[in-house]
Amino acid sequence: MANEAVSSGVSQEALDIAKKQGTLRYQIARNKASYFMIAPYFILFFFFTVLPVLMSIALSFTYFNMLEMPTFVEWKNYIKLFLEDDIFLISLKNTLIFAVVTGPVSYMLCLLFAWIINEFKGKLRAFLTLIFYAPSICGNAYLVWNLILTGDRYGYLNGILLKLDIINEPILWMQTEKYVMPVLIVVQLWLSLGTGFLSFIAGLQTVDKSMYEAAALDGVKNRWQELWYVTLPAMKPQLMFGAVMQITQSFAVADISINLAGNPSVNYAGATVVTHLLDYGSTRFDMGYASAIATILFLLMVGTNKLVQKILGRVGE
Amino acid sequence: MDYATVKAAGDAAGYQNSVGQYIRIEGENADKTSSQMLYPRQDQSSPAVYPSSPKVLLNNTIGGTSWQEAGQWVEWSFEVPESGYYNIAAYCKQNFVRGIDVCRRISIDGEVPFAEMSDYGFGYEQSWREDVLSDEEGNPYSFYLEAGTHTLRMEVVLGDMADIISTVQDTVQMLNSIYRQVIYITGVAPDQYRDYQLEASLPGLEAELVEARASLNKAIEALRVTAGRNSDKLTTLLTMQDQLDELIEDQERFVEVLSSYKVNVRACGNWITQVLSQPLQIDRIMVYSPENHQEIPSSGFFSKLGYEIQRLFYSFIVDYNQIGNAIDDEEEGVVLTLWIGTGRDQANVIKALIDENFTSETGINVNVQLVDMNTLLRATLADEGPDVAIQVANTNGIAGAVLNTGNDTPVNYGIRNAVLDLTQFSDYEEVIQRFSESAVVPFSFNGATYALPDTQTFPMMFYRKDILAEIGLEVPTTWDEVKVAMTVLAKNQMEFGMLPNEQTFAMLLFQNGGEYYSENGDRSLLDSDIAVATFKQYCEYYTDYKLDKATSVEERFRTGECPLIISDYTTYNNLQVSAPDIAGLWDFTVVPGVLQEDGTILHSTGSTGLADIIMANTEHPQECWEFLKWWTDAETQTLYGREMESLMGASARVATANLEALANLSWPIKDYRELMQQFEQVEGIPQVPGGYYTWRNVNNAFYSVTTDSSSTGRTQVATPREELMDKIIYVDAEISYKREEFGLPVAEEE
Repeated sequence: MANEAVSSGVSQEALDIAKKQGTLRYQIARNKASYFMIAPYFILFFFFTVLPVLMSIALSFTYFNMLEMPTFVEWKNYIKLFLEDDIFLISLKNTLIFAVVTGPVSYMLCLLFAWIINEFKGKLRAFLTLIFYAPSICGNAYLVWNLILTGDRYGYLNGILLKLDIINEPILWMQTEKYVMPVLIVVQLWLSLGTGFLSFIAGLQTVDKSMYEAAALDGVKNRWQELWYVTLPAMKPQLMFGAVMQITQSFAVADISINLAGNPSVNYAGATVVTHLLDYGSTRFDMGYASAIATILFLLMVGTNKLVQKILGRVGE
Repeated sequence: MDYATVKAAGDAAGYQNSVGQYIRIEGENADKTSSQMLYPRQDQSSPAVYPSSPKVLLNNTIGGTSWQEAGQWVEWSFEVPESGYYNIAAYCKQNFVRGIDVCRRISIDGEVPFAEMSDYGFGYEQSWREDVLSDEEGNPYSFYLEAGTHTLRMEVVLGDMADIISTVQDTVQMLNSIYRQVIYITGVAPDQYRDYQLEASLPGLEAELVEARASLNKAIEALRVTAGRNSDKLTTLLTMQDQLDELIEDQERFVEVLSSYKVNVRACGNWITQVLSQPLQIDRIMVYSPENHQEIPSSGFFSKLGYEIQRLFYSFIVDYNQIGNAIDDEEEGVVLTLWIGTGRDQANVIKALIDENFTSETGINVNVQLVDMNTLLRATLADEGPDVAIQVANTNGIAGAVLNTGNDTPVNYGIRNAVLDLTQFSDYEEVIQRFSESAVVPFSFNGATYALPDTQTFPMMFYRKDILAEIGLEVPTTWDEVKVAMTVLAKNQMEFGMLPNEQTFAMLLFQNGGEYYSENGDRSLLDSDIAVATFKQYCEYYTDYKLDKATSVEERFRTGECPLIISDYTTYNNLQVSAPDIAGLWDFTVVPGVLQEDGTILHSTGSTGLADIIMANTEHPQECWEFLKWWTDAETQTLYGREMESLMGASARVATANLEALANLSWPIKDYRELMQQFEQVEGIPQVPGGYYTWRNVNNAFYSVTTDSSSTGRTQVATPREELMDKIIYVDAEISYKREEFGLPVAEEE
């Protein structure tokens, strides 16, 4: 073999060096500086994100009431989750409705608003960006909805509707099953113009201007075509980022449900997977089961993400 | 005698200015005060206050929000080396009340030196300032003082405000009565397009309006004179006056402005409360020779900046959870860690009580820590938990929110072996006698008791004496009478106030003789006939009688819309303090009951309260038990209750579970008797494993029944029996599941 190599013009020495350079150890040593630079983030990420996920998966196979040591129960939690838990199905249905409605709708709204606002210049643009972004940075800004939606006949929404004779009696908005989900969807849309929106604006800015000119030369006739053939493909990284953010947000909806509809909400109308998880974890002292729900949610989110990425990969074709 | 006269007399007698004197009296070193509530306070807002420290809280001022009621005084004594004229200045803070001056009567050696000192005003300013006692032009007053010891006393007086306040109080009474007369005709939400002909139905209305306006105007003019300038305290009264002008012109306007009229009257009521309080905080008083005025040290911009930076730095180091001193060294004796679930004021009082009465007598040291009780669970898990925890609320609540639902924390922790079973201690039987039997019920399960009751509250019925007299209604004693009362109230456009919550349901259940769970807690008895009938009755109030389900009954009680309400007994304290406009017009009594066969009426209610627990992983169980015994005994609870009341006023009256201590608190005798009458018939709401599912499902069933059928999308109206029975199946399943978990015998299938 060595003879072949020698005869094909590559020396034995070169082969050895190539082999050594192929090993991981060598690669790491060579890029030492880069590894050092990502080390802080990576360590924190590992300990605060990856490790808890692994622990959660491990806990999902145990019975753990948080006050005593966990005991191993194998698949019992999952069996109960899939075969006996009615509320989980309700919460899953709600979460999927959320994901399907608010995910794409809010994504498109973000894109639309970002595109429109991109037309403005300078201070006006900064101002409009602030207005749209404000609800999501202000922490618990959605608590103001509690004030509007109170069931008291003198509350804002009830009072106005009563006065306009649209309703005859005060409605308990957050205690009436058929209104809970629509209200939560509206509030979530209102809140979701967040980081995705900002990244779209940034993306729109970085599109190479010369591409538009080239496209005009090639026969693009109107703004829509421009959007589909030039802008969106150039923005693919931002679209991907935005999609990931929206998906995660819509699957993890829990805070607004707990604060507006209560946990547990009346007849579980506002239950989402995460509120169901919190219910088991904190109220019912069953952390093992809650971990099982969390693991299922994790798999669901990863799966959906992959799906979305595949779809977005075909943008502009 | 006024200042000019006194000064002239003094000059004539040959008094001279003193020279080079500067006497400083520290405010916190008061010699005497009129009440226990006036003790040194800690202020960390400025480095100019003496003494000040960015790191620790020092007693450096006196007064503040506790020195605000007319009649309270503080007295200091000081030495004067040389006879002569002196100026007096105070380094004080009055950032509490805008628009009017806070008045004090200043007297030296028991006598007011001259007329201007009988109500000297301190105006509003945001931060600490030096106030030299001077006249309107800014010339400092000269006080003649002989050499020797003197006393200086400052007393809160209302001064000119007293008459104004009483005029406004009368006006508010008149306005309230007008309001009730009007809503008798129009209802609380009048129809805009209907002509109610108020002038014809209420002929005397205009005259009453004119009278009210005249009275209000008198108050406004007097206030203008006193406050000197157009203060914002006038706004409320002026708004009311403008509206009265409108209404005098055309009484039919009531129909349009009724709700804003009500809001304005309420604002006037609040105005009275605000104006009655005259807080002032004093750091030091300077008595000095007229030419020897000295600047206050450290009051410049840079010293403030340096101070704030230091405070920021210390905020990272100082442990704000620790109250008082922390003892680490075990050699000094046993050290217990105590967690308190309520607030900082309570924690400070408890620490003081412990130091004085507990540690000194038993030698057991206690580290008091103020922690959010939601972390109790996780702390126990991580072995960082306390030895004892007091004032613990239910698993998902904050201490104040435990009023409407049962406290399930002790039983939940106990069956998971996280807290000790207290029946193991030899004197348990004796200690438990201090409380009502009903208080211990929620904390016991399967023969073990996991906590001692800390507080105990239950619902009572509140009624407006004036309104009921006006409409000729007697206070109802049974639920049948309540139904009759509701019709009378409806005719007068009023309502009965009762919210749908666990306490209301428990009250009805216990009165009908129902039970929550079977004897050993293995199944729910809410599917029994009695419970279903109760549930039906409970739902009826909100479907047939259309009581409002989400509102503030205390607010409506105050405005008169709900002259009869069922509410927790601690509402009494709230109303006493925050509703001066109805002072003396209301009372409370036992809740309506169910007529029994032997002619008596059963007024049972449920009860709930905070709990005191000992964590299971403590190393000193016996000492923890000693502490709990001391904490819940009559003497300590009485001291604690009195201290809390003097610190935070009547609204902070403790709802202690210790019966003897409750008798020692400052309840008026008549009210105390009513309270005790209800207390005798109070029952505890039991807690079992899986019990959290009970109320959740009853509530779900309730909303299924009482929400409009069109909104739930069902084709038939849900019946109470069906809904409840459906849900109780879930409850039973959950209870069995939990019992299996803990190895307890599960109920047999029928």
